[in-house]
Amino acid sequence: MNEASRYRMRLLAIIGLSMFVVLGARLWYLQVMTSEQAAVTARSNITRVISVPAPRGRILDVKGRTLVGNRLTTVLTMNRYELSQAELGGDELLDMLTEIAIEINRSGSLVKVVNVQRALEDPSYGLYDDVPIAHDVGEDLLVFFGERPERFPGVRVAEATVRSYLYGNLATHLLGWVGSINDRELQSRRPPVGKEYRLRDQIGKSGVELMFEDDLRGVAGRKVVEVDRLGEIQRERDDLYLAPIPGADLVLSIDVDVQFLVETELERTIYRARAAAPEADPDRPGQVSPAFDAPGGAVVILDPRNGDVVAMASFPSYDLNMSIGGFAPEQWAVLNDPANDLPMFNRAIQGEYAPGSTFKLFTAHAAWHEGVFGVGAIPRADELWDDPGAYILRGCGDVDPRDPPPGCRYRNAGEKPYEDVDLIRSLTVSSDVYYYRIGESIYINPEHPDTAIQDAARSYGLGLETGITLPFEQDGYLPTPANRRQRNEENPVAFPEWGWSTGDNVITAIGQGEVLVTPLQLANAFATFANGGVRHAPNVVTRVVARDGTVVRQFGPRVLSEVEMDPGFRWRVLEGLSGVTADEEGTAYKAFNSTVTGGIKFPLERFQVGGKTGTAEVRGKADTSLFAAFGPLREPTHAVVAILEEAGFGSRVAAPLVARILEQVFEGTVPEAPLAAVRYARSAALPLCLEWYEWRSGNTLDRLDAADPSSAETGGPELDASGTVRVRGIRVDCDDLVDEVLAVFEDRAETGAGG
Amino acid sequence: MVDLRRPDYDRPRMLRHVDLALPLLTVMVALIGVVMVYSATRGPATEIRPAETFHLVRQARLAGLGVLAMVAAGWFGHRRLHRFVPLVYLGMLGLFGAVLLVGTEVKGARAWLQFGGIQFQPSEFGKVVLILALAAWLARGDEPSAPRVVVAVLLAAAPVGLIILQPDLGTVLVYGAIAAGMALVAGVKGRHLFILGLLLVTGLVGVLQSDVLEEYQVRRLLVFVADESDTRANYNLEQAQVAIGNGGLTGRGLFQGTQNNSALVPEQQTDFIFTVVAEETGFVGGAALLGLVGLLLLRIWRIGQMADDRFGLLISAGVFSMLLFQVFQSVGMATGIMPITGIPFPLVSYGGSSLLTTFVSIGLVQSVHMRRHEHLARA
Repeated sequence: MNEASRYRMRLLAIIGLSMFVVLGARLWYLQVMTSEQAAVTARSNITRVISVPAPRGRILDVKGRTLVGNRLTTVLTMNRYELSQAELGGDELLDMLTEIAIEINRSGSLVKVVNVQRALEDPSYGLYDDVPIAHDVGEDLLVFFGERPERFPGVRVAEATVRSYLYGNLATHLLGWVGSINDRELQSRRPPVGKEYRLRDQIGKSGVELMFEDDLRGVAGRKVVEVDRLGEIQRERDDLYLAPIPGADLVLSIDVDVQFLVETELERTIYRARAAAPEADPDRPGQVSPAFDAPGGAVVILDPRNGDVVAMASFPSYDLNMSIGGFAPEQWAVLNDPANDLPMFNRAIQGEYAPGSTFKLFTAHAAWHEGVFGVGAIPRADELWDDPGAYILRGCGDVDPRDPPPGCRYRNAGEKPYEDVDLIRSLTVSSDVYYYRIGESIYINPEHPDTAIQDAARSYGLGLETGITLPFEQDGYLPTPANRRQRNEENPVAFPEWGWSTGDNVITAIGQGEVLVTPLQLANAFATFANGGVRHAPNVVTRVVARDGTVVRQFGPRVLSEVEMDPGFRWRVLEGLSGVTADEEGTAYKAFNSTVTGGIKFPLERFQVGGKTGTAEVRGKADTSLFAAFGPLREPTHAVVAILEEAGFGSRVAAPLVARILEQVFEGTVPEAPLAAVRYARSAALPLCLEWYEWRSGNTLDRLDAADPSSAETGGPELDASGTVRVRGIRVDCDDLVDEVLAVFEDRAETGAGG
Repeated sequence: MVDLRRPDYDRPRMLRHVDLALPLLTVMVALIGVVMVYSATRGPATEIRPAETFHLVRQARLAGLGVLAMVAAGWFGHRRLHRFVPLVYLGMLGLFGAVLLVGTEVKGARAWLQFGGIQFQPSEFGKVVLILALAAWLARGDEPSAPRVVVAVLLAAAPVGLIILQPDLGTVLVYGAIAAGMALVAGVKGRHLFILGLLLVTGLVGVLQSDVLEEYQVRRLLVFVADESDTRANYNLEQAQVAIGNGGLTGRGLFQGTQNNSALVPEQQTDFIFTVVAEETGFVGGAALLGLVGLLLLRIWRIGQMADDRFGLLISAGVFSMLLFQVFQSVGMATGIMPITGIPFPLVSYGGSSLLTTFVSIGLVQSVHMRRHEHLARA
């Protein structure tokens, strides 16, 4: 070889040597000079801190039964990043989403492709997040998608903790729903110390879930795991684990059994009211009054001794289970559509209704304590006086009673006359004319303050928020000359009237006109009268208890004010109100003494009940049916208000409803509220039980082949020869179930035969 | 007296001129490779799940096969191969064409051919073919003339063009390194080299501008050019350097690398195998491996110096350039001084094609050493 080649080979060697020097130097720099730093990075690099969500506190009833708990559910999620990495075309993506939707639907929960797309576009999720697509999917999907990661990139099925509503849709409005925190809430809500909010945390959105969010919320724990570059967990660092602290439990004042009774009775009453044919209007002969649409109603039961809410129902209601994983947009639209009577609207605290004749209690209070009785044209309280059925204002002067100028003549319902009316009987028979005269007299007699009626009502809490620990409470409205003028000045378009006339005072006296109260206000006002004048702020939550049993907070009776009540007034009104249910002329007599209007034979001899019916006129609609009551009369333990929209007379709809509820409450025969799972098990068991019953009766040649062994594995209904059906671990005794069903049919046969 | 200048070199005696250091170093490095591949692929061994041995067994078998291939190449000899070079070269181009038509795509590059159950990368074997072709062509005379240089460039450009279409940037660079090293040793004139350099830069810019390169490859190159420009592409680089730094002076211990066990460095059994070596055996182990490879290169270089013909010299220069560049690029990439392009560490990285190619090329170098006196014998 020539020398030139050797020389050039040496050049190559120099290049190689310099390369090795560079590599060696770099290695020295990385491994010796800056090694410390890299070691630190390497340690933190491979661990990830995962927040462990704390279980939300439970919600218990007054007897400690769990209304709301937590349960595990399977959630199908899609990872946006992995999905984008798959680089699917528009059609491919749509095909895949369609396939996913089909699989979800096949597993039992319903989801539309558009919903999946919308969920994927949810801006609250980041690029690397797993976006939840469907909740409560079948566990078989875990296997299905787990085995096909190439076909469904980024699709995972995981477990998540969600709210569990053990009694189904019981006390829905009161409990409220939870949902993901949104941007606005994230910024505006100040979390309690140690309980931070993160985007998409579940927080209470309504009801006690919202009001007691800070208590129910736990402190998140943390889990440290070692992961590989794909983010897959290799190992968990037990030494760094921090256990979550569960949220505190709420103990409600609600009694689940009573609540269930109230909701069932309210629903039943409303459906009956809808079925009733519109009556001929006694006031307008020949005209058919508006139909009983009965779109909704509310019942509130308070304990007058301390202001505890025993039951609170609003109809229509909705299923809280819909809120799990977030309401679907169409569900949300349905729930907030006025055409569906606003199921999410809690009528018990948000519905504002004219109180009608139930208001007479407060007019009477004003009249007695302002010394209206026996002054001027008003007879003494005990003076017997004949109510002619209609009343012409004295300010109108001497006019033709059959054709008076407009706004001069006011009538009883159906222009019914009553003889020998005093204060007591005015309440028992509900004489409007008696109160028209008081209303007129208070306004025109300068000795009495113009707003004496409204002031009395306000002292009982009407027109004011009650201070219940529930969100979005309405305050109602008590019209006065002053606030009418003020409303007109503020918004002349919406409120064109600004003057106040005698007529306004007259109809205010019987709870009509612009008077608006919420069912809770009215119940609290009657509770205030019932307990002798102590006005409480109603409580729905009595205690907040940490998971270890220590009481965090306790809510005793919260006295807002006391109403001065003259004993003479009190006994007369008690007499009058108990006459409503006990006196043959009482407006609720039939409801408490017969089954004609759907009422019952109430044990009044043992439990006296004071009550007042109300039938509030609503322009263009059927009357609102009201009944307010309390009992036992001398030592009241319960104050009840039932208000049903567009349902007719208070005496025919609301009063029988209250009678049925109070009878069971006082007799102690309120049946135990069934758990949702039990209700489901019984309905699922019924067909099998009927089959078993037939088989046992021996009337058929069928074999007992309803016992399907395969359904045992899926937890489905499974029947054995002894007549026991197992549904998801719940045993249903067919003997009992069939007996109950047969009893219903026997009842029907009897009432049918009896006419 | 036996004439020392003209000994009798019959075929059996040829074995006397076998260089023992060459196969010894080669097998040592390959064994280190087998262990490191195992470390990189065994996964976290638990009581329930024992360590994964699939890659270990496969790499060990391939290394055995590689030794046989090396022996075969040495025995067959580079001279006998000389005649077949045009045929082999054309066959290579044919395979490259087949890869583009029916090849298997892995991570964005269509570089693999499937034959029954065997998958291989023709562009790896092409390296040896290119070395042979250039050596044969440039051996025809000292100080090649301009037309000869142009033909040589075309010889290199044909396979390179086909690889760019795959596209496999790393292999293209290796081909370039081979060609450059051999051109230098062959005595291509300075001005010709300058012109070639200009052409290369122009071509590189052209490739970057065109759509030939996949986006991720351009991005990886740009990460190197403009630091921290892309977090995703930067990720590989960061993790590799953290792993190497984490090794420190003496390493975390075999199978104890946390970065390795967490599989935080991507492609750690192939292109980033050096990070595993560096993390688990530290600077000492990394330097030792580089030292062994350095000795191997020194041996190859020495054999080139001793070669008795231009063909043998150029083969040695080509293999030297190939291995040098691959080591430099592979380690440089892991340590962050070179852009990230997928180039295997010779003999160490997991992968049959690369392993066999390296063994065969070293076998050819052995052949150059074994037959360094044949020329004299014939003369």
